[in-house]
Formats: sequence, C-alpha cells, structure tokens
Amino acid sequence: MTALLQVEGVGKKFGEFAAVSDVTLDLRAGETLGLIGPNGAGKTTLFNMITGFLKPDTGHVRFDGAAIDRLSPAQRVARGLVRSFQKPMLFPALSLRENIAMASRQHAGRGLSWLGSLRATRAANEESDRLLAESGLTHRAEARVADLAYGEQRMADLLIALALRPRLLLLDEPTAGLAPEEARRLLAIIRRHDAETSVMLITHEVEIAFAACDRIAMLNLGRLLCLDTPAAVQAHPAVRDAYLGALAA
Amino acid sequence: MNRLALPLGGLLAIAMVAVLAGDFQLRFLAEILIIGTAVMSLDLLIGFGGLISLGHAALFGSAAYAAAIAAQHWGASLPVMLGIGIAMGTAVAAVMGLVILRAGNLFLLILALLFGQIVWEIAFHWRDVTGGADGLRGLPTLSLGPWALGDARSLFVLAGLLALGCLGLARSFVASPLGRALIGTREQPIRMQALGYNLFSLRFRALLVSGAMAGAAGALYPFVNLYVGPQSVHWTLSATMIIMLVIGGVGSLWGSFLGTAAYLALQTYVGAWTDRWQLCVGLLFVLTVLVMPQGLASGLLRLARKARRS
Repeated sequence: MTALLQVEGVGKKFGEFAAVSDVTLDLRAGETLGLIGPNGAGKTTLFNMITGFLKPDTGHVRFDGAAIDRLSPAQRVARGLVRSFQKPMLFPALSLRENIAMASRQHAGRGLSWLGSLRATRAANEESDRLLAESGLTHRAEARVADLAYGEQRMADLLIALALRPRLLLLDEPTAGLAPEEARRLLAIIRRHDAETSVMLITHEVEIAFAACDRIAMLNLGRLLCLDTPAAVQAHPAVRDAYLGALAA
Repeated sequence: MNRLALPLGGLLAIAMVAVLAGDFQLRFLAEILIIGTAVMSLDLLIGFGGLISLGHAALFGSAAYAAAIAAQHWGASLPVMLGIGIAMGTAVAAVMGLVILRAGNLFLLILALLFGQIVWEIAFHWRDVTGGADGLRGLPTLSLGPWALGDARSLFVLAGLLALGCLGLARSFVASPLGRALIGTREQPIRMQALGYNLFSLRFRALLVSGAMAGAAGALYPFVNLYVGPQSVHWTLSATMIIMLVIGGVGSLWGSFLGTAAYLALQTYVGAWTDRWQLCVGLLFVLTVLVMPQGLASGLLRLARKARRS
C-alpha cells in the first residue's frame, strides 16, 4: 500500500515546552491508524499540524505525495484532508440538516453562492438526508443541534466531516463520553465509509483502538514510542510501561 | 402565497401611507426607510456575521456624496444615482474589507472606526468637491425620464420600494448558502475553516453585499434630506446605526426599520421639545436591553404570538 500521509520529523514547541518532537509516521491509503497516548502526549498538537491549524517548527507533512506545509487548513480540506475536534463543533442556531448541508455545499463548490443557489441547496439537502438516513437520525433532521442529545451531537459532528467526502479523516476522540452502544454505532458508520476514506483516530479508549485500527501509533511526552499492529503495540514494553500498565496487569 | 405576503403587504402599506400622510410625515418616513435600509445592511454584518463595524457610515455617506456630486454635474436621473451609489458603496466596502477583515472582534471594530474617520477627513477637508464642513446643498430634483420625483410623495414611494427590495434581497441572502456560511463563521469560525471555507473571502463577500445596500440607500439620502454633509460619514453615525439596530433587534432584518423609527421619532419629536432628547434615547436603549433583549422586532413577535394564543 502507498502512503497517503507522510509526517517527517515534525516538531512543535510552545515556549520551552516541546509538545511534539521529531515525529515521523505514515498512513497508508485505506488504512485506519490509531493515535494513542496519555494526556499531554501531543496527539492533538500533531493533528493541528497535519491539518494546518498549527505550523510545525521542524519537519514536513506530505499528503498524496505532495508537500502541504504551505497550505491553509481550507486548502488542505480541498485536497481531502478533513478533521473533527475533541468537542463537537456544531452550528447551534441551525438545524441538523443545515449543519450537514454546510459541509456538503462546500464540497460541491457552492458554499459561497447566493443568487441561483436553489439547485445547490436542494442537492446539499439530499446529501444531508442520505447521511442522516445512514445514521438513523432522519427523525431529528429539523431539530436545532443545540437541542440534540450529546450522543446525537457526536454523530452530527461525524456526519458533517463525512459530508466533505474526505480521503483522509482525522477524528479527535470521536467516542469520548459516549455509551458503548453509541460508540459502536459511530464506529460502524466510520467503517461503512472506509472504502473511500482513510482514518486517523485519536482515542483514549485503547480497546477501541485495538479493535478498530489496522495500526497504532503511540505518543508519549511528544515523542513517538512505537508504530505497529495492535498486537505488537500491546506487547511493546515501552507502551506497557507508559500507558497500558494498568490494563495489562 | 406566504412568499408573496411580504411584498404585497409592503406595497399595500406604501400605497396607503402615500395616499393618507401629509408632506412632513412622508419626508420623515422616507428618511426612516432610507436610514433603516442602511441599518439593515449593517445587520447583515453584525447580526449574521458577528462583525461589529464602527465604519458603516463611510459606506452610506460616501455613496450619498457620490450621488450628490454626480447630480450637480450630470443631473439627478434615478437609475444613474442608484448605480453610482451602489458602485460607490461596494467600492468603499471593498477597500474597507481589505483593511479591516484581516483582524477580528475589537481590532476589527477599531480598524473600521479608523477607516471611517479617514473617509470623514477626506469629506471634511476636500472642500472644492465635498463642500467641506458646509456640505452640499441645492441639488437638482431627482427624476426618472420625464417625471420629476422631488415631491415628498414620490420620495416616500421610492424609499419604500428601495427598503422593500433590499429587505427581500437581505432575506434571500441570509437563506442562501453564503448567508448560512456567514452565520457559520459567527458561531464556529474554526469549524468553518475545518470545512474548507475561506473566512476572509466569505466575510469580504458579505461586506460587499452590505456595502451595495448601504450605497443604494445613501444614493437617495441627499434628495430626501436636501443636504449631505460630513456628519453622514462620521463614526458617530455608525454608532447611531448600531444603537438603532440594537433597539430594533439584531439579526431580525426588519427590526432595523423599527429601531430607526424609534430613534428618529425621539430625535424629531422630543428634540423639538428639549435638547436632552438623547437622554430619552439612552433610556429607550436601556429599557430595550432589559425588557426586550432581542429588540423591538422580537418583542413584538412575542406579543403577537401571545395574543394569538389567548
């Protein structure tokens, strides 16, 4: 498999604090890569650098073979690099359908149209309805997202990202705070899209990482401890010491 | 049918007032509609984009100056005046956008204020063209082909049609993908970036639309007011527009006309009785914030809903 994403020696300091140091990893097309590590390990900082929200102090990021260091977050999205955030970032004044349509219109290149936008709006709503049906949230389409339950908001957050038809989807703790059944449903939706979408998944729930990911990267104190299959990561002594001690005991 | 209710109701109201009201009321209402249109254009920025600008009078006033100056040289043909006003409002908005939209929040507000004051300096000191502190008076009568439109009734009808047209455009703008995206930048700017939206481009387009509407309103203003002076581009008018908007209801669009009417009514009627009319504006502002924090428009809708239920 060819590498879709290559992170080469990337590092970021905040003052004297090195949040990420010399991280090199790759993600192959069609792969689901887990990113685990304790709080403060640098997982979200790494996400921010990959997606252009933070500029790395050192190293480079390549996507589909091309350097993307100079691209803005919006330009990276146009290439298919899409992310979610730790907390659901929704548009509370808009309905659930409109939240998803905000993304599908942008994907269709009609996000900023005004006059003559009726057809674009209809197409975006159809795409939203398709995703809502897939996730079982059709009955909530007209609800304001501020009125949705937390689990539904998490799902809405994922659907917004999927409406952009990403080639690589970076999910930051998508199952945090969800009941096991809700988490299973959300992961099933992600899996349903894995033919066209590769996934990089930050999670604190190592059981989910071991079950859902093809490979796992472990970060600790900003450094990459290992990058391997779930079984190999579970057996890695440094990983057991740093993070999985309690689980393995 | 519902889509036609607003324009038909508006046209009917304009026709009835045009027939029933006297000259003074018609001129006063025309002024409310024109300034209300400018305030509504500001509502697009503040109410939907969260972009609080203290430079909006620069868009309105520069269009008023452009129309007045053009009228002195080439006559006051309505389509030409509107074209010049819209072009001027859009052009000034474009320059302003390049200056202020790189910043956000407080910095945007201050940059807009400074930009507006630069426009004021030009209007105040370029005496040969703008008349300086004296402004411009003695403008030719507004006309449309063979018809003179200088009387109060014609000006009121024109202002009413302009307000109605701009309200329709503003509503369509807010419902369009561009308008929804503007709301998105107000609520979740970071998420909007993560969805691939270019925030600068988005806000810039909204400012152009707002500038075009303010410019259209500004183009008619000198012919209703029979004068345009540096006060029409001063930052205090921008602040007044914000006060009118808050009283009327931020994000309601039509509330802009209510807020403008309330402000100008106090200025005109209480101002004729005492020079402390601004105290009344202050009281109205405080009362609105306390009793109807969403503004008069929302308060009236709430009352209407309550009345319908009981």
